[in-house]
Amino acid sequence: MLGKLSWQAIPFDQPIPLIAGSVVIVFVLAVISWIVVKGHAPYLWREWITSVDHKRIGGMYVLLGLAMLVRGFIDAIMMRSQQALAFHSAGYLPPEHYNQIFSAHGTIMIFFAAMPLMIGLMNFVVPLQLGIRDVAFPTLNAVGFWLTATGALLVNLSLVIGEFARTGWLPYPPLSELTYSPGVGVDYYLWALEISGVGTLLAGINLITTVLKLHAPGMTYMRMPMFCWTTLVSSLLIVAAFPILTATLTMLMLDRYFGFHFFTNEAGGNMMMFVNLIWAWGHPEVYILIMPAFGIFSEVVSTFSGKPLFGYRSMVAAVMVICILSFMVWLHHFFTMGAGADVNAVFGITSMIIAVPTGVKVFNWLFTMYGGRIVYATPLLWAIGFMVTFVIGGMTGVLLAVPPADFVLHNSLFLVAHFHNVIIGGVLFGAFAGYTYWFPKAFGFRLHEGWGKAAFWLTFVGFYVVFVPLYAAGLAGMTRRLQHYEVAMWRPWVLIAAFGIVIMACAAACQVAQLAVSIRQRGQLRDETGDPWNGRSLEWATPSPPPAFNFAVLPNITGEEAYWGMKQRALQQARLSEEPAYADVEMPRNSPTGFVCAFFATIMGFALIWHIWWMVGLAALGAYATFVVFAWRDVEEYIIPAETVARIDRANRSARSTALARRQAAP
Amino acid sequence: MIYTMNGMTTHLNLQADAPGTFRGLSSHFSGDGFSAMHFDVLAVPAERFAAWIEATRNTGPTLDPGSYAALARQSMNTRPFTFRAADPDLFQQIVTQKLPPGPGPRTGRPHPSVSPRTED
Repeated sequence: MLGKLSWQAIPFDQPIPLIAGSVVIVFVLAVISWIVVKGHAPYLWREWITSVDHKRIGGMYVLLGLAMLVRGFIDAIMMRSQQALAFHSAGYLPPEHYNQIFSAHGTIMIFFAAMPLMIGLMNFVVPLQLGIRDVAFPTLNAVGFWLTATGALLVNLSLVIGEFARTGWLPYPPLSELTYSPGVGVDYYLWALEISGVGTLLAGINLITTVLKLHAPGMTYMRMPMFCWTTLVSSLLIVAAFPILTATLTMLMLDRYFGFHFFTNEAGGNMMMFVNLIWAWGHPEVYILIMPAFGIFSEVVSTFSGKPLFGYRSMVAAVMVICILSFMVWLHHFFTMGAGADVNAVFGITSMIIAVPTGVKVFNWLFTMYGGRIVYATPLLWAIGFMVTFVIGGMTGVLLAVPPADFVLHNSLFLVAHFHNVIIGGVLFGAFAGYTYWFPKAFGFRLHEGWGKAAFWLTFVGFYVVFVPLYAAGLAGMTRRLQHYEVAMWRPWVLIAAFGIVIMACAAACQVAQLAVSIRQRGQLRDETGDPWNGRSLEWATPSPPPAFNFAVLPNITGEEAYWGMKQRALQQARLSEEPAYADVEMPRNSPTGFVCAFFATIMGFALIWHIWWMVGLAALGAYATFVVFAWRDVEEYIIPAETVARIDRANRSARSTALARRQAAP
Repeated sequence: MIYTMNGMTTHLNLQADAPGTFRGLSSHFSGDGFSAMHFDVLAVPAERFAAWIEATRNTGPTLDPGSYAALARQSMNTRPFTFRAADPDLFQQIVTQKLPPGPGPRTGRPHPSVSPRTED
């Protein structure tokens, strides 16, 4: 009846997951009951859960990313503290638990923290920057988000029901095959990633279509803000690479569920193929993550330097070159597989070539700042911290791209330090820069600067205190994923890294405090004009938060930096442009399709993991029925009357005239 | 490091030109016993090495398909031991996959539930 599921699946004898799971369940129940008791449930359902508005969906993506960032960070704290204790000792986490933690840490951080943060920011910002009212496929967008949330839910469910994979964040066979991992851990991993991978693919298709096909009049490709370009590159990579992941994981599933032999030890299975395929997705994946971050830094550096982005065209060329090159380097993840010196040399060289377009970008950012009127606001601090940190990470990457060096350093903590160096220094700093930069646009008030700066400095310092010792320990031969060790030489480095994670924890506390303080002081931090940073791109032309339709009338674009041009004209003529003729606006209707579909997908994933076949059938039927119902809908859009549009836009215009008058009065 | 995979031959070069003790370790994660997978390599003068060879030839089991099957079973924290001799065809049989790979933590149909506890 319930397949493999029984009471044995609940780890009653394991206090750590049990307590952690109970705390999470109590917290979630508390939040839900608070929402219901306070009567917020209908609002939440109407305005958020069923929303197809790209701004709301973007916001929910970011919220999911931040929540999963906390979960992944708790895993990191456990790993660092375990290693600090486990010198000549077993520490407090037995291997079977520790191995799940590092596997979950990697999986969660990449798929459910970094990806949602980046996709969320792209979703929120890109239509605003392009001067349009929504993405190309609004309901598909909601489906994509909710399927990602399904994946995150399944991974977290494995904490209390069954187990998570104990194979590392990429389940290399033969360890991940049924013979050597008979539990449900790898199945949780596979189904969580298959389902969320579909969501990511939908998001990628949606964003490509949006950037390529939907523009405000006059918004040609070479007038698009840099962030739109990096979104395009990132989405192209998603569409090209995620099917490889899906196919690879499907092959592993066929091995596990139907006794196929794609990657098994016997019957002609070849595990090399798994490693090869997973990195054919995996290397583009790191560019999927870093590309939007590059875009964010371009926007932030230009805005807070008060200058247009230096070398815009070279930047566009650089991101497109990276888009292509990122598919030509995957073999550097397994130089040690034994492909031979010639193959390794080719991929070593292509890996080093990627440093060239990346170097172009770093110099462009530096030259953008050069001679600018720099305002050291929190987003710019993240950007500067990124430039310093990412360059160091990039250089250790070039070192690892030398095959002979890689034979020594492969799987060592040096490698671990390297990729955290580029992912924390690049993606995470980028996510925080974007979060602080666009928060006022999303919610109508700025984030507290003091707490933001404290969070930045603690993260920046904490990062180095954690990962510089790991570089050293890696050079001294310490490998990754060690549950205990006996080498005295590694001990001091591990202890320093454990101290560093305390600093990082303080940084995380500052981020939470920043949000809490900012919400309490939102009156003082209010963004009246919609343009809190003296911005240059179109999102700052809308009020904060923007209305559902974004732009009352689609703006007419006459050059690069569309909004900056409008602002300069207004300053010269000492008045805003003529009031446009308002017309009714058609917007897509909200739809629970995404949520309902993900609800069935969650049940289906869970049932597949536990082999509850009847439930799989029912859930698949439910998900299919949801689509059929959606496809048969009669009313797709609703009308926002011209009067409402006019009223909202006039309020925006009057706030802007006041700001204009104030700027004109200032010396 | 170099990956060790089914059906693959690797040449390992050891340059022991001075006496000493060197640490060796597995650097690719392979399951719950991974952290204990390290060993010491003792580089000794030629005469001590010759004596060790002589002593080893006279003790311990032989490495043949039977003892290889036992060796290939999953285990943790096994004390180092030596074989007195090796079946000359054994390596070829392993590389050409004539011998089956080691069994997993359980044989037969996988057990229903596995929460975070070690099997077997």
